[in-house]
Amino acid sequence: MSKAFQLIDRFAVRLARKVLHLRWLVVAAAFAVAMAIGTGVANLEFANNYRVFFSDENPELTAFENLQATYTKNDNFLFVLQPADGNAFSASTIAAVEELTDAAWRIPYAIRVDSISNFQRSYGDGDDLIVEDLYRGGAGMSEAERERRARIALAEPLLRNQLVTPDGVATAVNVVLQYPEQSLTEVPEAVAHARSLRDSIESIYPQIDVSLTGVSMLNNAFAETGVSDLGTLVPVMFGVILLLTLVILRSATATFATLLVIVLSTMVGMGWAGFAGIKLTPISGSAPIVILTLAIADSIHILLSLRTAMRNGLGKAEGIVEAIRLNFLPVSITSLTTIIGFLALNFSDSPPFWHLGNITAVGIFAAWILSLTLLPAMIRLLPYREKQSLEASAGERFMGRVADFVIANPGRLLLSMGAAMLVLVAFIPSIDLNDQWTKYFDERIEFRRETDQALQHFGMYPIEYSLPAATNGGVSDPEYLAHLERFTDFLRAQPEVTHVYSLSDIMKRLNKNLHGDDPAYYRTPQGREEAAQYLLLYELSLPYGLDLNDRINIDKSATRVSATLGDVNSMQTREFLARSDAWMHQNLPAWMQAGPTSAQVMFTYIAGRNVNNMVTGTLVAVTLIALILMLALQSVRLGALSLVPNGLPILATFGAWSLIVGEVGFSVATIASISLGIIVDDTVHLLSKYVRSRREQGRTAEDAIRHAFKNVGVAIIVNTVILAAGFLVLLTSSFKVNVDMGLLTALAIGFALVLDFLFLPALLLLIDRAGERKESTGVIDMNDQSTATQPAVSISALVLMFGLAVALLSSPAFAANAVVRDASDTERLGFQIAARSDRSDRGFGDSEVELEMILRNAAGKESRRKLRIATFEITDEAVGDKSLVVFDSPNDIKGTALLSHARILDPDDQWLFLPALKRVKRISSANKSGPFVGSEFAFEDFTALELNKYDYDWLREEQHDGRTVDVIERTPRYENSGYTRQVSYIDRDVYQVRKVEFYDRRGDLLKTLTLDDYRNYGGVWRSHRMSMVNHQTGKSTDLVYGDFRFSIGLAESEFVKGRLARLR
Amino acid sequence: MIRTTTATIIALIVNIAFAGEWDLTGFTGVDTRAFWQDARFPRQHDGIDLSFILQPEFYWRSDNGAQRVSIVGFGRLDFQDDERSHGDLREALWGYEAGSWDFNAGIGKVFWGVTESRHLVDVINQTDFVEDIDGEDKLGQPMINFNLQKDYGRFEFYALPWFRERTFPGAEGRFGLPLPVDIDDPLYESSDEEKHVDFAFRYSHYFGDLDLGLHLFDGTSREPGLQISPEAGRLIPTYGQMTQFGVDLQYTRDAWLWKLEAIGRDTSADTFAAAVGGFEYTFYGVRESAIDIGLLMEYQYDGRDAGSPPTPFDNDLFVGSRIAFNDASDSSILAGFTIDVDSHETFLNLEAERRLGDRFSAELRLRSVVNAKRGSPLHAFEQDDYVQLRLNWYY
Repeated sequence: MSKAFQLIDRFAVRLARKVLHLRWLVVAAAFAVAMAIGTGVANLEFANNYRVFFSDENPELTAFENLQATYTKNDNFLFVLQPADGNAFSASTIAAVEELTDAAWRIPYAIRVDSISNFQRSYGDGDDLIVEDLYRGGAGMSEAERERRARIALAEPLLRNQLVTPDGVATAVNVVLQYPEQSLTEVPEAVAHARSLRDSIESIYPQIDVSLTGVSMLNNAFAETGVSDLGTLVPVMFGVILLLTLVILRSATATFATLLVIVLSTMVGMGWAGFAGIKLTPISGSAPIVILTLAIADSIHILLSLRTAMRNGLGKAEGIVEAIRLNFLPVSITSLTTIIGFLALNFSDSPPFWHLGNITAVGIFAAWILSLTLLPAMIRLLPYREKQSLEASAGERFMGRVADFVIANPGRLLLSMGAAMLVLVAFIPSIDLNDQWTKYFDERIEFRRETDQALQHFGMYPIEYSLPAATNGGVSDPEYLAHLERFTDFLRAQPEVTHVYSLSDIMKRLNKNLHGDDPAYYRTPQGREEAAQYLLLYELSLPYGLDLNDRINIDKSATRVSATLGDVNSMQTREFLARSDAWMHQNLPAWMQAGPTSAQVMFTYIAGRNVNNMVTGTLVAVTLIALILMLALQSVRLGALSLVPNGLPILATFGAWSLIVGEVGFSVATIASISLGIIVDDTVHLLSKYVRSRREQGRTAEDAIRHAFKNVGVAIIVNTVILAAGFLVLLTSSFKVNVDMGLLTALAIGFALVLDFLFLPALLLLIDRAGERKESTGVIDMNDQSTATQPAVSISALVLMFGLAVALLSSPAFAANAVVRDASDTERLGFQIAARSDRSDRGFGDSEVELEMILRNAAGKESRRKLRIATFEITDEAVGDKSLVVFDSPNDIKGTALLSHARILDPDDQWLFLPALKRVKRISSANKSGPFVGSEFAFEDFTALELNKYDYDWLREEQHDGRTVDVIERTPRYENSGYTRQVSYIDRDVYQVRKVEFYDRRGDLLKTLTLDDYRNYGGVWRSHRMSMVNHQTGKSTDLVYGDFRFSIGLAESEFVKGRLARLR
Repeated sequence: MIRTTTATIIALIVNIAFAGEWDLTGFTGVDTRAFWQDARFPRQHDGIDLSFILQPEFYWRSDNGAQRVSIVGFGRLDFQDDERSHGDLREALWGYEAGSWDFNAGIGKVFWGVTESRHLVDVINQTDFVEDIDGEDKLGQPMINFNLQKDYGRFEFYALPWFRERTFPGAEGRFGLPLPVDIDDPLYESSDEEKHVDFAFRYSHYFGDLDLGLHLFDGTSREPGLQISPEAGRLIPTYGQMTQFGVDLQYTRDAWLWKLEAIGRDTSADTFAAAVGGFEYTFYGVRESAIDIGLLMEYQYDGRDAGSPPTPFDNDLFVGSRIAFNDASDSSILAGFTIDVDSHETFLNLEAERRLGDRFSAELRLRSVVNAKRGSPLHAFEQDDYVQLRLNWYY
């Protein structure tokens, strides 16, 4: 039997006992901490910029940012107008375009508006160049004039397919925006304005259908989708989990406690995200769902063990301790492996996945702590019953049959399962990386619907090139322009390209205009000066906001070419990019070469980049997890073996996906590490039970498998169902990345279940049988391949993790304190006399008395205090009385009150009321030996009057003031007493204490208390003068009592802290 | 509301002549504050500030104890600062108690909370800032209050029909701000202004060693923002509306008191959380003497942004010690400092008090701001270090 397991067991039992003992504190602390961290949720906001999907190091992002810095930002709104009559040039449509063009300028942060109406048409007038709006007051133009201009528009390469369709059925207005990027409200503000603009155009021109899309709408959709996803998914998830736990645990208490654990864990995760300043995306927004799903596993395992324990006849408290003992190690390991799996997401190239990984890791960490602390405490506090039953449950019987089946057919199972897996794995290479970012959103999202509509008419995916010229001002160089024209023509010839925006088209038009609009001159200018002049002339004529800064850089050494792609996915984009790249290499001079950039380029490469990075991440996670398993199971062999049932399901998932769907988006890379961390759990539970029963009970491999199935089989199935359900809930997300992630992970979990039940045990059997044949001793030392230091390492690792908890919980207070002593005769006699004395004063119900306290210093100088004491008797001798002391003088402390709930061996509960501040303060009752309000009476002299607070010993009989008294020594049993012993003198007539001598911690005589003036109140004796003399300081204090009033009808409810303020 | 309450109280006072026991007490005090630095702003006085205090107290309790009336007045006459010369009805409360519930109406004072260095959850009463900058002195709060005591805790409900403005020193007073505060015409977020009825609820109970309080407050914030009125060259206090939820916890074990107060507050301009938590550990009977030495440490966090009135206690550590001599004159010393973790701005505080005979008590206080940083709320008080000696006569 392993020493390490014993150590861990002992720790777990200690932890569980401590938690049960301090249950109220545990619950309060868990709530307080979770709530405190949960307040961070207030800081959470959804990001509304697609750039958050790319890390700062992403080369495509860097290239694109450079381009945008050189030219203009490409944040835009695209309004697509589709008139019902199919004529984009009708009077009313032109009026709508003009109105929209003007109004769009008022969209916040708009810096440029392009439409067919403000298109800067140019023509020659002799040597002059006339530049003017294509339509101004177009509704008032004659039909013929409008049509003439329509032909110009349709023939214009800058407009055709970009702002108007070649058949003239739809037109578009493009608004470019430049956000200050100071606050997250900028995008929603602009979007709100754009939407109201769309709505107002649609209401004024009901025959025109306006779709609103563009990068700003995309950005906004990320935030809106995240919010709506959270709003719909979380309640669904919650409902599913509530239902499942109720069905599985069949206990309202257990369900409630479980829900509490997962809700608080989620709060901690999300709260942490808030404090860490994470901007949510739909991807990281799925973190609450993932935490809810994963956090539940720990609780389920513990609660199912509790159920089994209670069925086997354990009480609730012992059952809880046993459940924690059994699950402490597996729950810790599974939490750790899951955390590692999620932390591995940090290798991804996309920050939202980092966030998802980190938030989930924090949430799971919280779930781990809470399920070992809050959960047992809650179960202990709430009613929870389980009938004792020796009969195996239906689930256990079923698991028994599964175990028998596996044990009977290990070879066949290994072969068939292995073959099936290999077939699936064989399909992996045929999987394609492909996605289309507008399709990340499903049709429930407005952005998707409007973009789909817009895509019917116009391309949506620009690819940008910034082509450098050889020198400053080199864009006017005829050679440059010729190359530019050829590149433009090449792009236009590509099937994916709907439109190309290039300076060469402008130059050709200007050349024609300035040669009397002669169509023969529709070609790039032949001379450099000529071209530069044309450009200057044209720029001077352009109105504000429509300049060429978005086409030509500031020193005229490069121009920007934009090719817009139609409805393409990332695979088609990759093909196009490869083709254009090849063409560029072959046909353009080296100085003019430039790489493509744009959001589309970024999204095209992110999937591949993620896969590359995540391969490293997943490998690190696999290695770490295997190491942890080796340590936890203390067997290199089993740790390595576990890689098979852990790794195969992931590979099988990709194989199955390849068969069903065939292509995956950029979420795919992350699946491996996410699901790895999760599916390891089942293996851990199964293997740890198996190892335990082999090592601790010396079972054979077959018996150990039956035992493991019986004990954790049900929990594993239950967990799989819950996990699969949780990830399947993600299918209802309106964000495709989440849908894919949910489905892939659910698949992997399902495969893992099958492999864990049918493949892993078969593997264990074959390997261990081989081992058994080798060693005839029967019990195999599974440590054979592990070094001796491993247990120590694994223990120290686990203990370190719990360092804080241990420090808090391992105070010596937990040691058993009920010492049973042998009763000798004098001890029994001492107790009997003390009990007689104490009991003769009991049965008074409640009492109230006023008294004066006279304090004298060594010189005899007096000061006086008046106080009232009310007492409520608790007849149970195992519980102390409740008392209330109120001061009436001196006046500066008038109204000060002390409320005590005395206990026997535990510290009393005491509250002090300070009238000047109206403050009630719970005070420490450790101050037993301290002076009570400066008197010679210590707190304990007032409060420790309970019989059972002492051990007694009868010393002798003697004469005292003419009475026969028994001299009895009493020794405080409670902590923090200032006395080693007290000697009390109890008379034989009425059994009252006449004198007490107090001995200090050094054993010297400290004080003597004399009690005089006993009066009898109907059988109850009370002293009316108590005098305490301190022999060491010479000070003394007298208490002079007035008449006691007994049974005056005080209620226990008056001895509560809430009433302290009302006593004056 | 005030009028009916007053009428009830008068009726009860008449009643007292016939039944119940009553008690008239109070104290008179002489208070000197000595500022050893020149005032920061030329309009402020220098040197010694002398004032007199009077606090008469009247208590009445009906024969069966079910009804009680408490009236506590307060007045200060200050020779340097007109605004510090002020009077207040600290209490004028009629209470009725029956079994598990009690009802109170009038002007009262309520304290909530557990921590020492900052009182986050104590929201019912307005601070009497001219009395002392430590915020421990409070103005009486008009209230109607109903309390229910159950085995599982105490439930308190408050309706607070009238708002009390915070007091501020006058132009010549110390602890002034760069501009004098115009307390005559504060601004309110609510159109009901000071007549806005605030509501509060509190649940408190103890579970073994743990004392728990939860509260909810909805109404006018007791913390004023200060707006510059450039024409008048004054600061105008502005009082916003807030909803606050808070929790206070104290775990008492052996000589340890672990304390936590935390609130979440929502105002129209800001939503934030704040917390203060720490411990108090007491060495009882140090070296076999009667003296107790307590060590206190509390951390203060405040997440408010510019939308809320600024606080110096946003990320601060309070370290202090309480020494109780446990002698016949209840001598005690509380000394400590609060240091800002970021700016190291430090507020030093020393309070010592003892009784002189049966009828007198003396209090010594020393306060100092060190290392004040520009822009911090404490910056204006940088030159206001002082030592205070107060003598009270109780009767």
